[in-house]
Amino acid sequence: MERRKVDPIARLIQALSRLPGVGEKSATRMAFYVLRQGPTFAADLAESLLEATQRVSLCARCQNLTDQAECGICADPQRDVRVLCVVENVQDLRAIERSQEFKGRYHVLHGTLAPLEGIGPEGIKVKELLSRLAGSDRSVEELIVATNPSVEGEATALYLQRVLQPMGFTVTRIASGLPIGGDFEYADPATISRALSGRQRMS
Amino acid sequence: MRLLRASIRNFRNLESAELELGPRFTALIGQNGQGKTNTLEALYLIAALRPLRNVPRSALIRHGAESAHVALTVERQSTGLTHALSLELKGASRVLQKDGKKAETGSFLGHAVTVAFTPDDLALGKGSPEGRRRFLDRALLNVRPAYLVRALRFQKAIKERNRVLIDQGKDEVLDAYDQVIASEGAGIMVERARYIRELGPRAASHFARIADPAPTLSLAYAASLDEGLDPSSEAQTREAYLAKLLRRRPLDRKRRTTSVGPHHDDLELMLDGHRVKDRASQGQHRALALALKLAELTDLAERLQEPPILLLDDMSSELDPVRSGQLFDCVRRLEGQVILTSTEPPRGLEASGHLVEYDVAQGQVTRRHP
Repeated sequence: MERRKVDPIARLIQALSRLPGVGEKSATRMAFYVLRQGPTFAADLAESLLEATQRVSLCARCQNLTDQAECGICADPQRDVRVLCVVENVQDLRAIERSQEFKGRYHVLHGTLAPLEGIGPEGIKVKELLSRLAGSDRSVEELIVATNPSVEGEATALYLQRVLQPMGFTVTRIASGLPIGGDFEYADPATISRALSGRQRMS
Repeated sequence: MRLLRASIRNFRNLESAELELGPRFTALIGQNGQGKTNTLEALYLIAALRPLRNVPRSALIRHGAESAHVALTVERQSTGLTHALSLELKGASRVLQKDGKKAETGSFLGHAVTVAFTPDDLALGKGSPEGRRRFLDRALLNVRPAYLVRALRFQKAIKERNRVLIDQGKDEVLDAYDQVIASEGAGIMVERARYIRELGPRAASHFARIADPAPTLSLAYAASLDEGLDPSSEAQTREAYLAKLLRRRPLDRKRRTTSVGPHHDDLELMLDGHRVKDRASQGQHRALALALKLAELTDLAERLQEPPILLLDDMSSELDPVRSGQLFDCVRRLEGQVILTSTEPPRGLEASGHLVEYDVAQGQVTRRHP
């Protein structure tokens, strides 16, 4: 008996709808767009997907995504090697980079502690952090923990402090509070409460 | 604040209901199981963003429907403004809109401050500490909007710490969770202790008026932290809590659960210095529940500088005519809006005018015309 072939359009829609933020409606729209553009467009798209996944890997030093052994930030001699900013993921690193306010280097944890999902310190890149601090990055003096203010992000920050402070590092936590450029009147009560308790003396 | 209109679609057994609420009293009249309390539940849900009764969220959507929808028009006396609130439940998601725009929980809450009084509340004195903690937490949510986030963060941190205990995780990970728990937990304990201090004298005076004979009622916060709780200092309470978590760790490791904190605390109720649980009569228990609710209501009205909305579920069948008269006297004095359910048309309310009545039968809500 001959096996029935899967409808290629349906297969494409199903594949696209596996992407985050893409529902079946958007996936359908994308699929028909690709079909209209023709084979050259599709080949280019497929090739860029393959190339990215095959060539991009984790930076040996900071765990950022890179197509080199070491990422551009770690390879940059202008960066301050005394300060390390610890972030949850690559998107957070990119957000900080966009601000152009931070001149040190990073360490990407690729997650947070999440006991309910069975993720402990060994499930995120803590071992890699400790080994670089003891090896190639002995010049680090301060670690800025920039994990999210969520329960998991906070617990992860406190865990890092608990481990790193006895080793002689200065561990700091980014502040949280009201957004600049946002309207005070629309801030939620919890944010305002946090901003009030984290107030600073004006000098 | 005052509810002007409500519209309910596919919520519980209600397919579609439109209500024009009276400025003072609205009665939902019908036999049991017809949808009276479900109507009240829909109003409570959109006002407080939590279910009135303990039901899974999926059970709130009418069987066979894809999503449930509740909309409310509410007027603030203090500002004179009218707001349109809407809530949609679809699968596991919840979408909130305020004045036609998507809104977050923080900016949505507080526009229709609501106190509910249900038959379950009558067991406040003799029931479990959990029920009394729920009473405190619900009251505090109206008083301090930031309390919700603290309570949710605390619950989550406790769940995660308990999992670390079960998985026999490292001490360093427990150290981290102890800090998160101590910060959020100290805030909760201090807020509760301060609130009980405010509520105590109010509840005592209501009780003295309602109960007969009336021993002296006093309220206290029974904290598992005992002498470490300092209502005047959150920072000190945090340190005391942190120290106690550390002392209890060997025990917690053995039991694989967190044994100290606001999730084990209680609102202690005493009559003439004796615990209510051991000594109060059935009548005193009812008077006590009523006194606590009236204290909550009057305290809230003073803080908001306008009366909150009161939802009464089936009180006429639970309270005797004298007690329900006392309840309505107090409500009348506050001049607040009341929405109540009853199996019989309520008596004595027409006299005060402004009584709007709806019949509820088989999930249909229809206005009764005089």
